[in-house]
Amino acid sequence: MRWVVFISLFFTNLIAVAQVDSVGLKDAMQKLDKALLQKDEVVLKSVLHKDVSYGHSNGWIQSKEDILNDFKSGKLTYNKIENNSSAIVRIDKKFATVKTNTNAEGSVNGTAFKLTLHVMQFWIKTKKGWQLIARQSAKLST
Amino acid sequence: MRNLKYIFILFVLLGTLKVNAQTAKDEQEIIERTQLLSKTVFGTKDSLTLEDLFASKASYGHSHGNLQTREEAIKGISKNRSVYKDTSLRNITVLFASNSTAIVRCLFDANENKVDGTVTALHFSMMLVWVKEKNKWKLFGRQAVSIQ
Repeated sequence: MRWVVFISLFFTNLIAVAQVDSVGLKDAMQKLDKALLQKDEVVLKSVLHKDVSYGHSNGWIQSKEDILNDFKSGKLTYNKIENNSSAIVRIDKKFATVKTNTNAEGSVNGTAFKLTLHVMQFWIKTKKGWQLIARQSAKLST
Repeated sequence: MRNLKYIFILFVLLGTLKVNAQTAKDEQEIIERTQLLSKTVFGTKDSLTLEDLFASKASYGHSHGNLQTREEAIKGISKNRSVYKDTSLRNITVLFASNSTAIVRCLFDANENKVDGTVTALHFSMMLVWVKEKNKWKLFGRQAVSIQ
């Protein structure tokens, strides 16, 4: 009987782990912000899905290639990415929706920007872990 | 033995064709659902159509940063008294993240005629996430952003 309880507990744990990995997601979210600031190509390559669609608050949309190239060329630089709030809206085994309120500062094409943003992110869990598949920000009206 | 090899190759080719056909069909369905969503949100505001379009766990983000749940969004849209004129939905692109997940990008323009008589020109860039639920593409996420 004890063994039965033990084995079923073991499987319950397995199921719970298989269902949601919010710890892994939070880790990937932090990695992404840090890599965007530091232009860390290795980390960016691992946390960005190959088909990522990365939309800015002015309507500009970057692909994965664009993100990497625009950091390299200096077209885009982030000096600050600070989340005032960050919430996992939905999460299941393979898919997560995240909302953040973010202060972002940096420069694009040599022009400085300082924005308060509402950011919506969609993450997908692949063999490489959680990867950002789509992101869209909108300027927050204050 | 040689024949077997050809039969094998034939099956692989047929399999590829089938997958491509499925993707094309899915893409067409997603474009139609995207157009229906736009017509419903900025036109008929029919709540039954919205119930069918929205996934059970949808998140709906407005251009000013407000994020709504499925229920809030459906209620908000069906009670919206603005009338949208000269609507245009263009540059729809579909990108498959998996067999059952697709990211849509599109542009939307309209003139919003509010109840108070004011008219506002809208220029939105939209990000839509569609997921397949019970063989039907459903809106899982939407974020609009106002552009110049």
